[in-house]
Amino acid sequence: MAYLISIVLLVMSLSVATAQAASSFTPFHLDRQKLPYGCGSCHVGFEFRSGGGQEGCLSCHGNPAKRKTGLIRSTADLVDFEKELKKTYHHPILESKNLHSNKEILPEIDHKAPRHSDCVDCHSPHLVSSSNKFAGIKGKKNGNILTDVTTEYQLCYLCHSDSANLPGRFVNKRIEFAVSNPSFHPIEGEGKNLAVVSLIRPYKEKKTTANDVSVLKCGDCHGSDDANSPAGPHSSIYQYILRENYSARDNETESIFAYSLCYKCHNRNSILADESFKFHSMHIKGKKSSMPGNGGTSCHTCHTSHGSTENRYLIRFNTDIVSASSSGMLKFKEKGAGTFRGECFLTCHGVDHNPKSY
Amino acid sequence: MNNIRKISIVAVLVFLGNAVSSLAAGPKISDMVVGGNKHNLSSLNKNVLYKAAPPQSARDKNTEICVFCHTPHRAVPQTTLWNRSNSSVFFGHYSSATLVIRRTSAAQFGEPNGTSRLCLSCHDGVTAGGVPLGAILNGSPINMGANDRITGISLFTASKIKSGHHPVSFIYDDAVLRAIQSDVLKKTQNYQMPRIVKLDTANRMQCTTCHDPHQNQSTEDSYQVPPNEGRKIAPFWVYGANNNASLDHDAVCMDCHSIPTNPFPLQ
Repeated sequence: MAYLISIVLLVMSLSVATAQAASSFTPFHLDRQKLPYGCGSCHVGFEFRSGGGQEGCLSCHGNPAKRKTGLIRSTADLVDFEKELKKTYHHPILESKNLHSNKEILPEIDHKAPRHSDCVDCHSPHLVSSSNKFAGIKGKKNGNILTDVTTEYQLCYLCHSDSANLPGRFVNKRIEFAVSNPSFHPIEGEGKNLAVVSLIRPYKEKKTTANDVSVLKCGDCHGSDDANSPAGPHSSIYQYILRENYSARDNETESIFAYSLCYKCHNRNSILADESFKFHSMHIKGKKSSMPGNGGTSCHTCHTSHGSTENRYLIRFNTDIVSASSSGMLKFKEKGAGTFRGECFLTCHGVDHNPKSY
Repeated sequence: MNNIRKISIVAVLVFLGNAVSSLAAGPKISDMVVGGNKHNLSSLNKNVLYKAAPPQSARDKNTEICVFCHTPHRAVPQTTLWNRSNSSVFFGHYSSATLVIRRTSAAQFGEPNGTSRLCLSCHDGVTAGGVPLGAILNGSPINMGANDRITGISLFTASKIKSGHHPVSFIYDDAVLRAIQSDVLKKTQNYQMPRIVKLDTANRMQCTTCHDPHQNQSTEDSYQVPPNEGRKIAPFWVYGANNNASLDHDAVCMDCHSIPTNPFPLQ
């Protein structure tokens, strides 16, 4: 019996030693080297019914002037998210106070549920780590079961796809990025177009070597404009929380800055040299001296940035700018896949294409 | 057999090592030299807020240390020679909708009972709010002086029991564990049966599962920063092997909430 007790004590001692070991994968909030008060750092005086709320997160991750610095050993890793979230374009965290419920199951099935985004919608406070920002986040509702979120886009889809409370102006991103579409930016899988002549390495249509990048993350386009800010899509000075500027306006003067988001992956010289489309530069740069911006128009006038359910080459006309041709048609017709030839039926800047072939 | 004996010797040495390191445990209830812990309500105790007033006559029990909770004779039949009236408060129980035991074992999760009920005979917000701590079951009430009722963070009202505190008095057995592990929202959180802390004889998690009312096994470190500055990190914690209050506190939490430190990777 004494032996048995001794062995139990030995096992206990070992388990305690293990509990104290921290590795680079240790979730931040479980790392006692970072949080000297351990669980008590957050859970002393914790209101379990409402959860810690964003104030709980911001008490360390917010304004340094209001920060309880003694709760943490080093403030080196901490960012002022309060400031970040006050940038012009942001996930509405600060505005969503008290809207999150720990009972909610996403995508939302109640069309009256308030749209919101709280810290805990994307980050699980116990399991989040610097190497895995989304560890432990609740999965996607799929019938009566929750399936684990294993890729970033699945996390984004929790709110931006099949939510019953998706506002009318938002498009279901799952439908836009579906690999069954004629064209899409390669989020869910590799793209279909095998001849994207403007692609800058390491981006490639299909992955053939280890360094090739043929699949993107939402975060490759959506994130902070500032390299010193957290990379995630918390906020940006650019619309749609984009990492680089992307002008969607008509009558825009072409510049590296105007379409710098696109030019991260697509070679500007290739596009302006019409390598893929005979009249590319004419549309982008314009040639009407009477118009502001010389009549150039945004990539967005002809291309959707997510995916097109109608056409290849991400072609979807922006009907705020483009209207039907004189014969009442608004469409793009391809002449042989991959031949860089086609025809358009549309009216734009007073010019009738009915059709215009290239 | 020899091997087992060697392992035992090593184990005992490890245990002794732990025992040595736990010398920094909090004060014993009986330590009158440097001052007993907070559960010693004797007038002789030092450095505590809640304690009896100095005795006025030789018959006063103000200097005793056990009498506030225990009596050798005519105790109530609850347990441990109990010398307090039961709290008459209806507390309800922890009300978060995410609590699996509410759905799977509702009948086994109700009013605080067992030893938790004993703790609440002082910490209940009624005794503490209206009845002096010196209102023992046997003998005359003991004069507690100015601080005769618990106030503030040590007070457990019905509201706090429902939402501001860890649930108590629920059965935690294999069936409950399986239910938690099969819950879609809880399954990643690695719940397990405790190895360090003890459930009561009916497998219920009580105040005493985590707290030792007689002695804090851990150091009595305090929070150094607001809003909890000066507050003891781990009051009356049952575990003290880490020689660090917050580590001991976390070891107790993690005993059931075995949160994985290697969460699954995300692409």
